[in-house]
Formats: sequence, C-alpha cells, structure tokens
Amino acid sequence: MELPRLQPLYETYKDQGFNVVVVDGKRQTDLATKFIEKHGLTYTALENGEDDAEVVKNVFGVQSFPTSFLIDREGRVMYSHLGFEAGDEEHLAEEIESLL
Amino acid sequence: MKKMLLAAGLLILLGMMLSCSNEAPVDAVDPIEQAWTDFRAEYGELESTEEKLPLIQAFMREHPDTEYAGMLAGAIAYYQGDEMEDPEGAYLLLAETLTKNTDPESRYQIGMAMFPLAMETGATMDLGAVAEELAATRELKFGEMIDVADTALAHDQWEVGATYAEAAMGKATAEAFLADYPDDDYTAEEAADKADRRKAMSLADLGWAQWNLGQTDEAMATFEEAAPLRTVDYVGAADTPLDYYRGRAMLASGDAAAAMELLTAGAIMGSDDDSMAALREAYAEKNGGNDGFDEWMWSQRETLAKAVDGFSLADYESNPQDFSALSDGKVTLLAFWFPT
Repeated sequence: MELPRLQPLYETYKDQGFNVVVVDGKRQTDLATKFIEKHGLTYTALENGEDDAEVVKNVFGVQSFPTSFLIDREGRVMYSHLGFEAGDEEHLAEEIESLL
Repeated sequence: MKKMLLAAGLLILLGMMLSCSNEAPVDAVDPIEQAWTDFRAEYGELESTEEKLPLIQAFMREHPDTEYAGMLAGAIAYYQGDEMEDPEGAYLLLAETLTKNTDPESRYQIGMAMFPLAMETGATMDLGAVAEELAATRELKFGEMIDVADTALAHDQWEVGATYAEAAMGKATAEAFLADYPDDDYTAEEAADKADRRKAMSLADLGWAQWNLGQTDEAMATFEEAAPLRTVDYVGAADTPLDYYRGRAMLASGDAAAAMELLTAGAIMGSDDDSMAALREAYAEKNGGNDGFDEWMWSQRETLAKAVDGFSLADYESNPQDFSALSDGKVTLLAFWFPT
C-alpha cells in the first residue's frame, strides 16, 4: 500500500477542511506503527477491532486492500477506490476538490 | 479492467510476501532462502518504483528457478510493465525467467503475468497453454480458473474465456468451496453464499464470452441466470463484472437506456475507467452527445450516495476515536490498508 502518497494530499487540503483516516485492516500493530513513523504520516491512523468490534469486513465489506472511500461534508460516501497506483493522486485530488 | 487485474495481482503478491514474513525463520545456510530473506528486508526499506524495480529484477535474474520468481512475476509486470511503461522489457525478463524455471506453480504465475505484456507488445502467446500446463500437474482451483477467464476476456480471447468460465462453474458449489478451504470454519450458509458468488462471477464471464462469440441469445440467457445472484459492495456497485459486461452488451445491441442503468453505479461510485468510458458512450448514444454528462453524473452521485456508517476504533496509543467526530463537517478520505 502506497500510504505515503496520501500525505501530500492531506498536507495540501487539510486547511480547507479535508481529513484522512486510515484503518489497518489486519491489526499488525508493530509493522503499522513502524511504517507510520518511518514515513512521517501525520493523519489519523486507527487499528481495526476484533470480533464484534471488527468494522473493516463487517461494516464496510472490504475484502481487498487498499480500499478507500471519499466522504463529503454531510457524511455521504461519494466515491470508492480500489488499489492505489502511481497517478491515482491526481484523480483523487480532483475528487477532493470537487467536494471541498 | 486490465489495470484492476494488474493491481489485484500486485495485491496478491504483497499478501504472499507478507505471509512469508510471518513464517518461522528460514534456515540461514540455504543460500536461496537467505537471498529471499535479504530481498524482503531490503524491499521493505524502499519506497519508490525506481528503487524497488532493480532489486526485483536482480533477484529474478539471479534466482530464476525458484518459487520466488513466480511470486515476483506480477511485480515485474506491475512496476516495469505498467508503472515504468516498459512492457517489452518486462516481457523479455519474464520470458527469459520462464525458460529457466522448472516449478509448475511458478511457471503458471510467470505465464499469467507475461500474457498481458505479450498482448501489449504484439508477441504471440497462448494463454490456454499456460493454464493447461499447470492443469497437467494438478486440478486447477476456482481462483485460477476465473483468473484465466478474466485475463482472457480482458484481451479479447473469447474462446479461452468461455472455456475457463465454464470450468469455473464446476467449482461454483458449496462443496467445492469448502474443499478449497478445509482448514477454515465456514458455516453451511456462508459456504452457500460463497458458492453463489462464484457462480455469479463465472456466469458473468461466460455471458460476456458468449456475447463476443456471437452467441447473443445464449449470452442474454446466461446474464439472466446471473442477475439474481448479483451482490453489491458498500457503495452499491456490483462486486462482480456482471453489470459492466451486461451494460456493454446492452449498448452494443442498441439499448443505451438499459446500458446506462447497468453501468451507472460502477462507473460513478467506483474507480473503473472502463465502466466510465462505457457509461459515457451510452449517455452519448441516448442523448445524441456528451453535453450535460458531468451535470447528470453529479445528480446520479447525489442520488446514489449513502450515509457512511459510524464506528469507533482505537488509535495506536489506545485512545478510542469516533469516526463521526473525526469526519464531522469535513471531506474525509477513509482508507483501509495493511502494512507490508
């Protein structure tokens, strides 16, 4: 997962009311925290829950990683994205700008 | 659709590499295992494609006759063929590796990664032969059959697509699903759901192959059979290619309105460029041009958008975080990932 590619988007738009929340779907705490620290990721990072608190599959039905949802200011899911390839940043930026 | 297949291949690769990293420490005296351990450690430190690709290429060249060459074939296709826009170089490296690899499983993985590159570069390659070679050593799994069918359809290999979609249908039962996952604890109801999903995927591929083979009546009947099995993802788009294939068939048969109905959710709420292109085509057909498409698209998105479910999870300092508070009044990107 090219999670660091989200950091510039966060930096660019956060002052306009944009936020990034990432959830580690596999609860690999040590790997995740090292990765986040190494890449200097400053947006919100959460860990998936277990059993009844599991949300990635049970709430969002996510089977493949990375999967992203773009949510508007009213809390509506306006766009979903599977994978994150080079060049996707531009498309995501367009989608973000259209909602800001 | 082709890019999605490629990305999916890389996701599988990363998953395989991750699963390897969770295994017990390897015997340090085995030079190949040591090389693979060293490779993984170095790979994990790299960030860019420019850094990763030479490392992968070097491992492939130095250890072509290993299972790891098969696991890395998808990465060569993705990083060199797609991201670095060098499909010919990627094809040649994989072709060279294939001549030196003797492991049937790896040869299949290399062949599957090579085929799209071969099509892109104009090389001749028989996708069916790739699958037949592995099938000569063991029975193919459902996932392999549907991968061959999907790959064939993405490159207009309709006969191969039909053959493997039909073969996949034979694995679209609860019994076959449970046999593929003997160590997992699925209930009968879960196994039945999984079987229905397999059937939906197989029928979608079979219908599209039939349509392109000129068997239009059979194709429509196949799509009709698949329709009750259609399931959707969180944003309401079909989670198989059924709507896309069926929409393309409707468009080709002149029913642009029906095509738009089928294509809209996948194109507008998802990120599939092929669905969006087909939707634009259907819109233009129905409206005599693309004028007003963007406005119409936004109105559809407003209609289809659903309120995100609330949830609370802990951050890495064990503090509970409520998503509704984090996203309140903001445009929010919610991304699900795992570290590799």
